[in-house]
Amino acid sequence: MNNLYVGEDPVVISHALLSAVVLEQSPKGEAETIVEREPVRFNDVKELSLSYKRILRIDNMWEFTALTKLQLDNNIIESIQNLFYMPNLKWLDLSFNRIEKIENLDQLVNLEDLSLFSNNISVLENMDKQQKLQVLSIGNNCIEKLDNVLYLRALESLGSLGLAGNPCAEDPEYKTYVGAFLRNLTYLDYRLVREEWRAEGLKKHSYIIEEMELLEHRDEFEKEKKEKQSEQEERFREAFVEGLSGGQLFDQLFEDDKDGEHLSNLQGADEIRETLRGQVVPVCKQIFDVGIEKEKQRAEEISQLVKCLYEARRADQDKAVRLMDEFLAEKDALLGDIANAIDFAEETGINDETEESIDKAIQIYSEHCQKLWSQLMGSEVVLNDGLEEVIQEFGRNLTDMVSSMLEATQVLFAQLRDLEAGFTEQITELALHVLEKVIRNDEDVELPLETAELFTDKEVVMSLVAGSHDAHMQAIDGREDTMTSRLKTWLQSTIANMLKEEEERNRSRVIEINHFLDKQRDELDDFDVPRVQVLEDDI
Amino acid sequence: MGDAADSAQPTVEGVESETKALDTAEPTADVSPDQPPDMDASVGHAPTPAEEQDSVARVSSEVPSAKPVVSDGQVVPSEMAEAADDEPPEMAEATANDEPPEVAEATDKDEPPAADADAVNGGGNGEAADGGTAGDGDGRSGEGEDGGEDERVGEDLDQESEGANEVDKTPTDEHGSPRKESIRDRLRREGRGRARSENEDAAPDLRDLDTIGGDVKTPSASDIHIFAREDYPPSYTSNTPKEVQLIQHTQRFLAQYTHLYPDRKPPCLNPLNDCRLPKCASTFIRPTLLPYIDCYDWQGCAKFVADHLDYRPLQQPTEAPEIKISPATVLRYQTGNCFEYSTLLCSLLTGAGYRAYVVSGYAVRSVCQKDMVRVVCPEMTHVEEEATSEEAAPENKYQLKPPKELVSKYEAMMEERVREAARKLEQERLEEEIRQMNEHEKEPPDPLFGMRVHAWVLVMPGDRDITEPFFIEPSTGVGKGIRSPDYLGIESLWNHRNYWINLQYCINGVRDLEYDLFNPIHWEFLLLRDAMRTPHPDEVETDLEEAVLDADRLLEMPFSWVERLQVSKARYDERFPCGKKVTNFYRSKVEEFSPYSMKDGVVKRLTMYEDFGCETVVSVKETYLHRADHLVSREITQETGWVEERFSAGREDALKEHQYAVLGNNPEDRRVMQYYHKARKDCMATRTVTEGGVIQEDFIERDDKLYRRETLVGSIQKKFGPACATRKPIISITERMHRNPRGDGDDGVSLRTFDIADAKISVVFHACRGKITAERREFSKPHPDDKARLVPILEEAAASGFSTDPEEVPPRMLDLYYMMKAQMEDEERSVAAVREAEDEIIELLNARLQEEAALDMEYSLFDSDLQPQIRTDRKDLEAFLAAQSTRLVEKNKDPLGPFLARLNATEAELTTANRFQLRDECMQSFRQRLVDKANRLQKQFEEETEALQSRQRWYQQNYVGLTDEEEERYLTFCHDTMFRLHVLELLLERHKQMAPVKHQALEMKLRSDPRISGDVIKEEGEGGS
Repeated sequence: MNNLYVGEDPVVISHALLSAVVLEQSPKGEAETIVEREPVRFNDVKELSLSYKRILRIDNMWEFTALTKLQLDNNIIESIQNLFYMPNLKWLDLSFNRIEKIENLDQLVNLEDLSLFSNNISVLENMDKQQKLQVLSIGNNCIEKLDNVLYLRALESLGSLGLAGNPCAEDPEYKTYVGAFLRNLTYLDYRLVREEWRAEGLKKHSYIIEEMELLEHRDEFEKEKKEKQSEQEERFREAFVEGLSGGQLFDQLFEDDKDGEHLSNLQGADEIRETLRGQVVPVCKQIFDVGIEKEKQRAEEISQLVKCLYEARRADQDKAVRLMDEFLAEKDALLGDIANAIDFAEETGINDETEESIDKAIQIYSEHCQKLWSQLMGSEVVLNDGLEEVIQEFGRNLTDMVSSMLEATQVLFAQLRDLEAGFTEQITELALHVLEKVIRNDEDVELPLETAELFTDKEVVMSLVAGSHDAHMQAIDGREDTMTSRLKTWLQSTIANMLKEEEERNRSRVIEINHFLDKQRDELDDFDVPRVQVLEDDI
Repeated sequence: MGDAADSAQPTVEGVESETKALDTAEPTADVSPDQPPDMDASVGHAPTPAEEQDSVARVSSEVPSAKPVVSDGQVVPSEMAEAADDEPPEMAEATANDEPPEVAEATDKDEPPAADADAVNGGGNGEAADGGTAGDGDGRSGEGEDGGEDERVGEDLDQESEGANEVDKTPTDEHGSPRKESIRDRLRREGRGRARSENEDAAPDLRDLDTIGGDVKTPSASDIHIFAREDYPPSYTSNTPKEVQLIQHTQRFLAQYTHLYPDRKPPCLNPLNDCRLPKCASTFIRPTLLPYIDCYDWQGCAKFVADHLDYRPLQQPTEAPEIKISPATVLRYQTGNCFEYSTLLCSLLTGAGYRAYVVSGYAVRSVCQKDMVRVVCPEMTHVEEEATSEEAAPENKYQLKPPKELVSKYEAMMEERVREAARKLEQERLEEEIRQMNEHEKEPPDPLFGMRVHAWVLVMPGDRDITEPFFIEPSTGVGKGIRSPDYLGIESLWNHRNYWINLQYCINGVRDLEYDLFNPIHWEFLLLRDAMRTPHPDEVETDLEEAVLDADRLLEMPFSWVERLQVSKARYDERFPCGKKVTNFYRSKVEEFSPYSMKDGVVKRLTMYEDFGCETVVSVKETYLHRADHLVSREITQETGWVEERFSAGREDALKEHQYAVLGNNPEDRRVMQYYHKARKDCMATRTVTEGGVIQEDFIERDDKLYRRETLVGSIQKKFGPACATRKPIISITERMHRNPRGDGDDGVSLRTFDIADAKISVVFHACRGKITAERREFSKPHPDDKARLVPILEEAAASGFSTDPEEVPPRMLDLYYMMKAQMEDEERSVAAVREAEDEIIELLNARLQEEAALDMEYSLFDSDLQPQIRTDRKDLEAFLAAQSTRLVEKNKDPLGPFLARLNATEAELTTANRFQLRDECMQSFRQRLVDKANRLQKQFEEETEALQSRQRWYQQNYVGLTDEEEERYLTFCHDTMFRLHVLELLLERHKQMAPVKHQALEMKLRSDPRISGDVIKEEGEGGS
């Protein structure tokens, strides 16, 4: 069947072809008259059928971004490509083509129905993104192995599968196998999946299925756990105290500390280190608690501000809508007055008097427009000023909060440094003690070779200690700096965003008001105002 | 003291003139003829009835110096003497109940001679002699009176006599002086003063005075006294030893009381009960919890008592009644005075666990007479309360500053001044109006102010989560504050345990009274034991005191002698006496009916009037119950003729409220219909028809977000030709929709108007979020056949509309076309809906007409007593049960009865010989009966057999020439007879089997019978010896 068009020249998708097709498929009946007058825009087309066109290559269709249904069946297409600009596509028909591989479907996440009937596909693959896929028709292909079906387990929505005509469908276990492994499947080859098949399949493959399910469950569980963790981490990050809830900072202290490694080999160093840990971790926890608490306060503050902004804007909006409704209610009468004046003028002949009355009517309308404009703009200006003021006030409060948090944490970080200094002192003592022993060649000193080499000179030992100390300090300072700088950046960006948002709202509102009033004034142009001929007098 | 007497002289004249006036005006007010019997009974030792009569007569006729009148060994203060003119019963009571010896002892023994002399001398001429007789009571000394107390009493007496002199002249002096003053003293003075000022010329009888305000009521149960003495249980007609003891105690108590407070009216501690037997007031209270859920709360109890009884004012408004009817009888006759009301209510409240007391005291006239004409109906105030409930949102930290107001403050101030002046004027005018109205509606002054006796109920905190004491007015069932101005004083109060007398002054009514009943300074108790039993703040002292108490004083209040209080369910449901009650309120009248009693199911009718005289009706509100058409209430405003009907849920058309004009049966008339929107498919909540053919429908929670549809209907065009039932043309339909809550940008249509007359559709969309301008489109509907018009129409629509996007692309024709098509489809749907609505209005009106014409009630399952069908069923069942029980009674008949009667001897007289004879006779007769029965059955069997045989013979002889019919009859006869024979055979068989058993049973029974065995007599004989 695939060779239906062999021997004839393939057709390229061209603008002419597309236009013809679109016109052919445009609405009929009453609407036809409209279409005649107004050509259909490609980017509005929702459904398109390009069947039996001898198309070889999918291309030149980038204008059709709104497509939801695309039929490309009965062509000579060899590969799936150039479909990524149709993200709304729900229905894709590529049956009766020469496709050999499922590919390039990643962007089509909304796909619900995919037909690849009668192609040359041998493997089920590359459909992970099609989680909404409900119907898959892939009969008359070259799928050999039945375990290809296992790939479809990842598609949770899949309810109907057409596989008939593939070599694998000849398998005597075909129905039971598919039924057992695809639990959500309701229809296989357009027939209801029977419970007997399922049961039989389950019996036969119970071990494998159980194992698979177990694995899947575990993956799912891990995924959830990870998500939860990252969520929590995200929350801590928002509070700027990530990695301070436990001993992470402490571990960090000794992570990049090469000098310290040698020192830690000393006898008794472990105890000192553990003591330090016992002191550092609670302080870290304190910092963490402070951060979380302050974060809550800030969130409360922000929610209050948001509420205030929302209410103020809402009130203003309501007022503006009311004003406009009032204007619109009067508008028809005012325009009617102008029309009447013009009619009267045309009836009685044009003279200064009629002209004056027309001008007067127009004048009244313009005045109304002007009044509405000034009212709307006035209230908008007041609102904008008020909101900006509120945001500034909020900014000051937020700055206070941030600085109070920084003050609190600074004290705690200072404590950390003190602790570290005490630790260094103890280590120094220990190191010197060991050094003495080494120099005395005491028997009970057991050191790894590398460390032993270093413990020959007092200066070397002292530099070791100093290096370790510096590394620790660096870690602490680094942590503090990150917190401070991020907090400050956040503060600035938050306030700036608020102001920016307000500014944007203000601008769009001003544009909106002016646009509306321009439209209203434009309506005056519709009137053909008769004028007294003045030119002649001049001559 | 002499000065006092002198100073009293001028006023005495006034008294004299008054009394004279009284005498002349009302000769029957003369007490003396009524008095002697009572006095005679109580004053055994003192002067003869003639003397007594004489003294009273003297008092009433002369009253020369308004001094304390000492007669028959008892001190009658001047007020008393004065009161004798117009208050005969009080006098009688005073003389009847007072205990002479006590007083005599007091005056004689410890009183300073000067005072004594003063008192006696002050009495002037005749009384002095009587004072002397008072002294004769010497030697009868009281039990436990100590000197100090007596002295105080003496002083009191002294001062009272002085006060009595001054009473009429300088009432204000009393407040400054530190002397004791009784409630009655003051109140009476006030009342008297007022009465005098207003009734200077004519001084009618007190009863007549009272009837000026209200109409005369028929006498209460206490006056009718329907039951004969024998109809009451013995507890009503006799006293138990305990009660006798109590009465003795109360008499001693009263004696002390009258001694200590001679000027105060003695409390009615022992009123007469239904059978004219004195019983302690506390024992009238029978704590009862009625088995109805409402009666578990005090509101329910009070409401029940107020509803269930018919209120009768006291016969003598200034006297507590001598006779009180027990609450059981009151419940039976559903009528009572304030005392009976209070006693009943107190019984119910105590039964429900409240700490309730009956209060006897004084109240204003409107309360005493249950005159509610100046009380705003509680129903009317209720409605206003509901409206005021709003929750204030918490204050936000950030608030937008209000925009600067560019207005001149000076101008504003000047304007404000002008307004202020206008307001002031207006207010003054209003005040004047209110004042005038008040003047007009003011209660006429009460000549008996402060003297009207009343009883009500006090509920004290402690039980049932009551935290503060409060009063309940039993006649209306309304709770009142402890400082209510309606009550003017308290004499005493009691519950089922004890009796307390108020020792506090009631100068300011009941406002300043303390209700700590354990405080002996404020309250004097009758029974120590009961006073102590209730939790006392100083628990420590109780041990000590208990040791001191002697057995006599530990008297306990006996259990109530009153019959069980019972109210049957039917009676309770009936609620009102005779199923109806009418109360007049301020500018309103409430009529209440028992459920099912009225044909249209009305249970309450509230009529509101415009004026105080209740002449012009403002509105009538009727409440219904158990109506088949679910009508709950109907309110008719008289002036506008506007009717508001409310329905409960459950109607087929889900109607909730229907408002219309009285004469508005035309579907086009103005009306408002509210529906239970959840019960309707179209979610409609309200449909309003306004004159001028506008139908407005409001919807709630509709899926298509439609919330209002307004339809303008035109009138039928008059055409020539036959009148056809064409429908009125719809001119336009306006629909309003809510915003799409999904918030996905596509907010849909906000307002659309189908201008059907002009074939136009205009659509306004919802403004996008944050925007103030909305897209608008207007279409002229194309004619279906005129394709050529389509494009121009769309072009016009494209041009005329307003698009919110400033950089707008002209709208696509095709989109507009689809939009228009959709709107046209909707229009068709809307028109259909409007037509349906019109039909529904007509349908509803017809349905309502039919329902009103055929009034039907729906009987609640729980009111089975009232439902006729169930009631007859119930009666049948009861009759059946009764029949059953009589059979049972027959079964248990005494087998010995007839023989015993024949023996002509009572049970006690039976000798052993007699007993044997009795038994033998009984057995003999029973055997005979068994044999007789067997014979009877046998005989019947034989007869039947014979009949059958003869018939068979007849058949055998004649069977050749028999018709089918005859043969048929013969066969039936045979069959029936065979059946009867079979039955008889069975009976006989059974009789044979049962006869020995029965015989044995009777023998056993007779053996165990005490009359045969003689055990009873023996026992009795032993008991006797």
